[in-house]
Amino acid sequence: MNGEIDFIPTPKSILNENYCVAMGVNSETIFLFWKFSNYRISSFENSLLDKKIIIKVFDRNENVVAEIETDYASSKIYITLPFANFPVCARIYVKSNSGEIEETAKSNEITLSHEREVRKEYNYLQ
Amino acid sequence: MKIYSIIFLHAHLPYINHINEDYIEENWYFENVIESYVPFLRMISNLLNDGIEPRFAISISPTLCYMMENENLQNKLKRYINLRLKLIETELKKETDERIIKNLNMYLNLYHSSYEFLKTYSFDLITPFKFYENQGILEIITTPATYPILPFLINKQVIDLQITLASMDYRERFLQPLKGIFLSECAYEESVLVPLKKNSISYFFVDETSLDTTKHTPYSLYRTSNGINVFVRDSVSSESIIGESSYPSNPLYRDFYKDIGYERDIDYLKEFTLFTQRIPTGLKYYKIGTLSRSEKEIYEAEPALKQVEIDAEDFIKKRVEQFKNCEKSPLVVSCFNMEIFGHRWFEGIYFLEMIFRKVRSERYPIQFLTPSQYLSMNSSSNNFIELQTSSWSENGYFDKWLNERNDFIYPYIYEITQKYLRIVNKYVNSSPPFNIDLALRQLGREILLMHSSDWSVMINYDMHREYALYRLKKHYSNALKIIDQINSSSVDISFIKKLENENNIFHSLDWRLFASSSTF
Repeated sequence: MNGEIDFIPTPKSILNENYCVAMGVNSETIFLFWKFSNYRISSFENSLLDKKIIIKVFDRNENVVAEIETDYASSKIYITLPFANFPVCARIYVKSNSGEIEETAKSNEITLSHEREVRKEYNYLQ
Repeated sequence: MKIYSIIFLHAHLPYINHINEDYIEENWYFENVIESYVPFLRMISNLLNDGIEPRFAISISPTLCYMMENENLQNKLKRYINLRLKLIETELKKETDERIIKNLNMYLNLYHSSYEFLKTYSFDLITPFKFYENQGILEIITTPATYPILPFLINKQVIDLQITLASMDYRERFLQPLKGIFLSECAYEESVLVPLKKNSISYFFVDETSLDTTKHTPYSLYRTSNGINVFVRDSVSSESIIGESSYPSNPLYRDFYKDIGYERDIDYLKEFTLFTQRIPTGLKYYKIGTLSRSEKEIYEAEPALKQVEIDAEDFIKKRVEQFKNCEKSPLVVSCFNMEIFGHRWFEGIYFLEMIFRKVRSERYPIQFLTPSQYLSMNSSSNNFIELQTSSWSENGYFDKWLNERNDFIYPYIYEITQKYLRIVNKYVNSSPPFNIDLALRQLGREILLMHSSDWSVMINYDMHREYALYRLKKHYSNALKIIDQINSSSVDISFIKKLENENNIFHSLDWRLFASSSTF
């Protein structure tokens, strides 16, 4: 019962573009995946760019709520955020060998679920 | 003071239809037809015969509707019932224990009566559901087209498409506008509000976790800022059916897991199951009991049904007790997967029946009604609310559908969807030739089937993981092949027709609906 292809995590995009997608997991975690164009991939591979990418998560006021460095080829990551229930989006930055930083992809905006631990039960008899 | 109660049952199965091949997973549909859907419809008939008019809201997902109407599955269902009847008769011939013989006769009656019921409707189950909808007993609604977790579709217009397609499909099938929708897995995010409004959908359901319960009671009707009514799933009544010490776990009830499919010789079974692997046959002779699985006691229907009556009464009394000091009549929305009743909880259909009978005979202050009936009494409600992202999974979170075990599928689903949107936008302002048109339609179906949330759950729980992966890879590979054929203007009609025959949902799918949905 094998399909004809395999799902192997890869940073290479069949859309041949740089993009990043954000998905909400729970009240504190977002899942990000990203892909790069053929041009970017070859730039990484030919050492024109640092293989590390920087991911920053922003709130609507452009405040950075999380920042993390990872390998471009890992193609996915889970990031823990300090607060829930507010809209965030992620941006991916690449570094050139000369140290210049360039924004390469911006994700969709998502709002995480409410933090359950701090909730108090409503008294429905009132 | 009266308690208004909506019993909402959600019926859904992933679309599984194989031509000239048999897959174990197709049995899910047959098992639910025999144990859940048909007994449910017969239960309504029993109540009506006694002058009791029940009220239920039911969502039947479009994928399940297509399975109910599918001729290939109808034929396989006939074969399934006949093989089970043959198995029961063979078991009866060699069984000597009177208690097991009693159980076998119960199953004989179940399968015979189901066959007769289905024959009345030419094995098309949608017809009796429509019949009770027309009588006002059921209020049937739908779910997003292929039951995706909507927030996971990322692109707002793909979310729109899943809702629009479901709404159009509902109108075609039930010949009336869609009143309400059950968002797949109760997964809510703000982006669903615009397409719901656009499709004139009057109401939807959210889990209690979508509310800030420090400010809002779950026992009330709400409205979103764009005027859509919101029914809130009550966690208390739900817990009594699906929680840890819920009614279905009573030791007197039939054990779901101990099936002769795991006990008899495999060579003996394969004649009846058609599979060489061990699979459930539906013949379960034991009760849950208090002993280990190997020492289970034989199931006895009579004490189990007596227990159902006790549990139904307890369920009602607890609702009455819960609200006895309320000044205002509460609205209690109890939402369940329909497949719990009859299939997972064998006595569950009788439980539903007993609720209606007890409320009538004991004159409990509970008024059962459909969502539309409740809305007609509360049309001026201006109880506006801002909802929070949530699902009906634990804590309202999404971990079940997205974690390290299943996250690898999402980039593939996202990319192939984006790829399709671009192709569609290329053709939208032209009249492509017949073969391209046909290919674009089937491409849409293959991608929509990838969106189903069922695959991620199956991978997460490692239950039928192989099948879920097979389906995802198959649809993805089919989609890539069709894209290649479209791009090279060499559409293989016989290939497309073969896929159309097997993955034949949304017959009149208009690929133009996907147009202009290119970015988030």
